[in-house]
Amino acid sequence: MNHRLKIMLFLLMSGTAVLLAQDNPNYDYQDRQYLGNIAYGSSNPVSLHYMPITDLADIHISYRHKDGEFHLIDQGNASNLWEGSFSGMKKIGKVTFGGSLVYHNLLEKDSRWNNTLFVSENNPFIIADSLRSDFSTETFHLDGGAAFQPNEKWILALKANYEVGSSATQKDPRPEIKGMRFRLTPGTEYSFGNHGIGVSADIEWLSEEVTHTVVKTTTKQYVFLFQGLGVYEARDAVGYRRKYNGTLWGAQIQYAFNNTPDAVIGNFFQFAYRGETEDATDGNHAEKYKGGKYIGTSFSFQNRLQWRRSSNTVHNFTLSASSQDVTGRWYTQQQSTDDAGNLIYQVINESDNLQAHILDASAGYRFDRLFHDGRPCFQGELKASLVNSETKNRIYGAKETYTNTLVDISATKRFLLKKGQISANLNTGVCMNLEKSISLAGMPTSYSLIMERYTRPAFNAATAGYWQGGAGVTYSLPLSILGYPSVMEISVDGFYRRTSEKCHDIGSDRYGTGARFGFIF
Amino acid sequence: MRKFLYIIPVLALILGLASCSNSDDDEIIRHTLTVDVTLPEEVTAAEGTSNLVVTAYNTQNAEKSVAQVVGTQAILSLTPGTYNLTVSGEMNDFNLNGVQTGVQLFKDEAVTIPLIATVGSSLIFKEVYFSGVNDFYFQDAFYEIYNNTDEVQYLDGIIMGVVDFGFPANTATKDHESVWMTGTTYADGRYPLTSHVQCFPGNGTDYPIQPRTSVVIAANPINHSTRELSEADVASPVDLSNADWQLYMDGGFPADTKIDGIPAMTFIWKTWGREMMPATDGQPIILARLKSGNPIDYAADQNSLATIPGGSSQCFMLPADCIILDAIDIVPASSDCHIKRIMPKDDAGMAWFSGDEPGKNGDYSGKSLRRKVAGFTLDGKAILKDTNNSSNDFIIGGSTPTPGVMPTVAD
Repeated sequence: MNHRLKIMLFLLMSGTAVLLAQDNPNYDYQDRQYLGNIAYGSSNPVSLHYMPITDLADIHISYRHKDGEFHLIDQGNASNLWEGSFSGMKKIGKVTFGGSLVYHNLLEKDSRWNNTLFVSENNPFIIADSLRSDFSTETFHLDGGAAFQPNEKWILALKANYEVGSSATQKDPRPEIKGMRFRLTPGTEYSFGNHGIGVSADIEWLSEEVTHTVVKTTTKQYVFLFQGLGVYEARDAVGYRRKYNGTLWGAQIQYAFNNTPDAVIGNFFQFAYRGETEDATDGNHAEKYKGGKYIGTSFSFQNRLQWRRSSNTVHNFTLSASSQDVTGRWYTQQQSTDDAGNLIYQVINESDNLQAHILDASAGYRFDRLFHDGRPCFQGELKASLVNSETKNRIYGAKETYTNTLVDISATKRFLLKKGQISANLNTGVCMNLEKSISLAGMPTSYSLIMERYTRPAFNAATAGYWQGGAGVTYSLPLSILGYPSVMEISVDGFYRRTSEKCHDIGSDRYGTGARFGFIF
Repeated sequence: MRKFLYIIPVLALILGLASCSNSDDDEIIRHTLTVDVTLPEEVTAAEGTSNLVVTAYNTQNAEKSVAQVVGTQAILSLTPGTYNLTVSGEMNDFNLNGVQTGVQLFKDEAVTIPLIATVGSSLIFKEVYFSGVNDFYFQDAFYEIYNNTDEVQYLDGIIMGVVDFGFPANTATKDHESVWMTGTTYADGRYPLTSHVQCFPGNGTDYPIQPRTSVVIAANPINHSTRELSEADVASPVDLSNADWQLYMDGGFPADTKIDGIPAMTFIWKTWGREMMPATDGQPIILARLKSGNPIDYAADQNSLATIPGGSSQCFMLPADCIILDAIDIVPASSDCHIKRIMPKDDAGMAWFSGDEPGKNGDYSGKSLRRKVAGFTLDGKAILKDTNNSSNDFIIGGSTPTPGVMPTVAD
């Protein structure tokens, strides 16, 4: 070992001492931020200002493995995810800063039917191939924000969010995906008495490019240009290139009542609008083929009511709902040549042929019992949600609808163990399908193979009822490293999920385990 | 029931939000296409048009819709898209065909299609095979010509060739119209042939072909099914050792096998390739006879050549007044490549062989295109279907090659 490194490790170890849990202000900081800030989770970066803990740093690495064949159709059977993250907050004068840097390294095995990375999950214009292969994906996620209080009435804030990544497989047709999302969120809040009214906005840009390379040219490889519900165009995969460009606009208004850490009654309400478009364009600069335009709009609201019944009991009631409309615009194009002899495509018709509507609602209750120092001791949570989705193709009359409901119960108990703490979590949930129907009778017979191999299995997987259970244990040990108070955290968890669906094209179970290690300063 | 009580507030939320959303009806988009047919001089409406059928082929999704012509009109209700329309039927002794390609239907439209009257040809392709097998083995191609009459015919001087794709400059994809064509016609009525063009030798009556018999022309007249295979190879489905004719270009490529004792067609012009090589995923082929003169002399005349519009490569031009004995507008299976390169008067339809799945191109699929058998003569000889419409006359999608073998049942 390098001599200098040995000295550094020695100094680090010699400067490390065990503290008591209550000696560290950042112990269990996530829960304390939640309980101490009624606007926690708001889209408005002004909420940074209300965080009860504003001087912290969190550094973690984690590993997660998932396996089993019960999953959505475009996910892999097994996956290994490594994550490294660094996040922190700091208040300097009237400005509160917060940010994080997260690195993901994901290996997803036997995945197919989706060769995209950052495009919207509602976008029907997916480019894909039908061959299972191992996707290796790296992403970096950076975000940073600041909230500034120039006077007692106003708070101004700005947050930036940058996500960049790449994904590739080593099996023909070898998609290579490079993508980026960048979002800016300015926000403000005006306070009067116990009330606060906030306004925030989002603007986001998406850029993603997918290229395909075929090494073994003796076998014909295809990519599928999906247009929703399994309607597709097949193209020779050799050198096939697609670009996605998108923008998103959002606006939110918030109302907060009693946003102070120790308020007996506090309430937060947010209403949000979001509109986004993503254009898929194929080919090079001279030969551009429009793959389709995705248009998404949504309205949503969320409300959180917090009641501190006593100094050590907190109740939270949450309610949220969203309504999303999805439109898939198809282009009919005709080939021609330009003056330079290049092949070009001219749009001769455009039509909003795919429409979807997704309603999502949830209600939740969380109970926290606190230690005398304000840290959570026991936490119980119940959440029920409902998703209703309808997708239809206006050309062929194909339609799929379903309503799923999900109930989750979770309980976490923290035990003091000598100078450290053990946190044990048990959770269980059940997903039930209340109704579903799929009608593909009007689809042209040329799509029948993909309907059987993609559309129906995708629908079956998305609507399959299941139950799940999980458990996790975290051991936290307060330390003083070179005089700085910190918390070392080690956690392991696992889950098991089993479907009640008897369907040959989806598997029966899924399970996963994870481990996490890190320090909080 | 009690376990679902929690749903009540959630449903209330959903109902509230549902009122904010767009309320779209379940209307399916359909447009009406009215097709009027114009009958040729040879027939009149009084003779009835009850067996005329309009077929609308959607080039995006390969869906076919058909409608009977009533009077001189057919009405179809179709999904939006681009359509190739064919009208086909028989009246008296005539085959009636009409074509209109690239009809864009994004609102209610009406089109008029003039019909062409033709009679069946004497010498026609019974089967063609050039898709090849993996790994890039296409030396096993063959072309089988059938005498579909009850009289002796002669092969002498008959030209066989491949029609040029007519790629625009800087492109080599097959999903575009030929630059030689305007709509479905060639500017000067001349077909541009590419690759190699060959003809049967003889002075007019040297090479007879008996009624209801065929001749097999092999690219290489050997048993291809027994070739030595390496790892990625697939066995060829054909044995051409009994072929009647062969394609051989003296001084050509080593793989161009010559078998003594089997007559060879005469190469009269070449531009590229080791011999006549249609694209393995499909390319139109043609069988023609000059109205007068010798093909070799015609090929030697520089006026028989023309340069592709916007390009530099040359093609062999069949004279406009030549007799087209048969032409098959063979296209790749992928529907976006279903673009006509044979004029409707010579083939009103299109035919293709598919890969392992419908709609996938059939290159190296080992499939041939075989003409259907319409029936049999009293002495059991096959009468092949010849309505001047390859979409109707051939087994679309392809089938296992059967060189020299006549089906014993009608298709």
